[in-house]
Amino acid sequence: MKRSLTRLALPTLCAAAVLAGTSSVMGWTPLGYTWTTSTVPYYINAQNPYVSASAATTALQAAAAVWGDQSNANVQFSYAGTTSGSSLVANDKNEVFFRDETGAAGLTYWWGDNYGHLVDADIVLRGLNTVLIADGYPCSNAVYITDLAAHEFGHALGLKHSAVGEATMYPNMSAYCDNSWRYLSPDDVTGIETLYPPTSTQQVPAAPSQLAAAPSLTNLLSSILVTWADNANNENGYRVERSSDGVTFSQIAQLGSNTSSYLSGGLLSGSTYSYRVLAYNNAGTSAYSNVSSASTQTPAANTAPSVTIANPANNAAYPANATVSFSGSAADSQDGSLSGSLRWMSNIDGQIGNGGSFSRTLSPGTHTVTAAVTDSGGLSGSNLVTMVVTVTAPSGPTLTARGYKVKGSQKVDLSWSGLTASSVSIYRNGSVVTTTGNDGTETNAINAKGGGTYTFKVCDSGSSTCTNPVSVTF
Amino acid sequence: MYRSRTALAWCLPIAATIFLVSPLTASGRKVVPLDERIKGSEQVIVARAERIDPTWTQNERGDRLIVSRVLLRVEETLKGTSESATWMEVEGGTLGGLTLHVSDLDDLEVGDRAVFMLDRPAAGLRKPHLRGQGILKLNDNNVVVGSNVRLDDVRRNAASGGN
Repeated sequence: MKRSLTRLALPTLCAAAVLAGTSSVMGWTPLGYTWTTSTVPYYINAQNPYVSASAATTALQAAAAVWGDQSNANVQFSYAGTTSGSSLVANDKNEVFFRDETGAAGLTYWWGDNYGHLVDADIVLRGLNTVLIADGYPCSNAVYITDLAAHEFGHALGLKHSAVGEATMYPNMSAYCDNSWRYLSPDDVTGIETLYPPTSTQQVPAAPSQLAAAPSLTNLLSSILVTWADNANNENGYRVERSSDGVTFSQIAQLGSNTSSYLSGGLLSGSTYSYRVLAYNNAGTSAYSNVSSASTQTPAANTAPSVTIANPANNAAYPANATVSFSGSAADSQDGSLSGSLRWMSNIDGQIGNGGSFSRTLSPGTHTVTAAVTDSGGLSGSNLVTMVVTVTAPSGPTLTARGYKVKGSQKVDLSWSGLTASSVSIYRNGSVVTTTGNDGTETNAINAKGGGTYTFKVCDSGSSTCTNPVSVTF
Repeated sequence: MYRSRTALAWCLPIAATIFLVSPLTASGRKVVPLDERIKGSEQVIVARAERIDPTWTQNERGDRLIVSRVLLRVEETLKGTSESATWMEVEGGTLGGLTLHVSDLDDLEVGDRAVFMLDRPAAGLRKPHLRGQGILKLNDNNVVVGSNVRLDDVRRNAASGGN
């Protein structure tokens, strides 16, 4: 979003300019100290509570590149790597880090010697009062790290605040989510080119050579590693271009100086890409390197996973209510172990469990138990076993009864088992109606007519051992 | 890519007339209105830096910094305890061949005259309220440097209790 005066009350913006109370009205202001080198290394400690470390690093690198890329000043920042440092110390190491503390969102601490030369500059970005975000994050009442850091990197080169409202070095942003500080104003350019005059004799950098592209060993399916020989000693950086047809190239990356490799990711598998690289500096660009092509690998054909059931064994039998342990494994050539994704089914009880092992009871009957799994390519594998859960016969004497009528008279046929005495007593509605031999059957003639319900049981004579009671209703 | 210049030069004269209204709440740096700065300060004085003693200090974050202890000769007390002189501590200074500058603090030299809005921390010397926003350097015409704000404007604001 371009900074826009029309979106803000003009007097309000102006008040900010006055109340800052730090700048002269002449625009850019020198600190009075400059670097003696044209390449200023810096280190990043990207740990922060606001955005990912990689997003923070990318945002900070973009901020640092603003001053070299958008001016002809004979100075540029060079990313030197990561640091664990998070203290403001004159240690000859220019460090950028985050702190969760109050106050201005960004501060730069410069260290200069007695000769007007900068020897150290540390930048601290502070997010307690201000939400810091990177490009690609939704912005609401937040400040882009790239824009805030572009301002601070300007300090680190020796610029104080400017009185020009649209300058990157103006002390206050115009609004949240403003991303205009990443674009230098003429005032900023004048300032930095005054501090570091362009060298008119600068030559374009030497072209890179020996470009080689090959599938990346870390991801043969979607990445290609591009390497080249860095032949220049005056480059601001390198630009990498890619083509999918070997004819039309487009830039895919801009890298810092002294770079000799680039990992091109996010590619289609089984596809061929061509690459070329050039070096650039403020005087222009080098010739292109040679073109090198490489192909990403085609993924191997998918195969179905294999499933093994370790337990229960095929045809295993279990008593009713027994807890059965189920265990199995699944292996896939492409996905590796899929045991944890196994689904277990019984033809009687339906889905009975998931994963490589579990225990449970099953309903009585003969079960066909199936373990199945599907791999990431959509192919499935399964295995099955048959197992029996037996039905246990009830214990103790049993009795069955069947009622019927003969010419209207009620009769009941009784049949029992499990009694051991030589004679048994027949009970009807709690009273003994007869005692007879223990031959397992008896017909009780009630000889009543009409309806009624009668409860029978049969007991060993002289004993309390009896069958279950059975009721007959006419 | 250069941004086009617009006529912000308008702003500075206009700002001189409206500096007491609520300013833009900037995102990168919050500019606190003058009246709030005065209200939030324990002491507001017009003073001249008479002596600056730099020293090394190390804080709990491991920062090893040069700080300057500044003796302020008080000309006028606009708020708070009236004293003839007081000490203030700010980050930055020159010591042992090294000079530390901090981006939100103007350099202070012996002889500089300013409105100082001061806080008294639990321990140690007084410090400028809201760091750099607590020091308004004055030129010989009693105008805040870089603006059209006059010392009389600050006096009136302080007399009204910072409102």
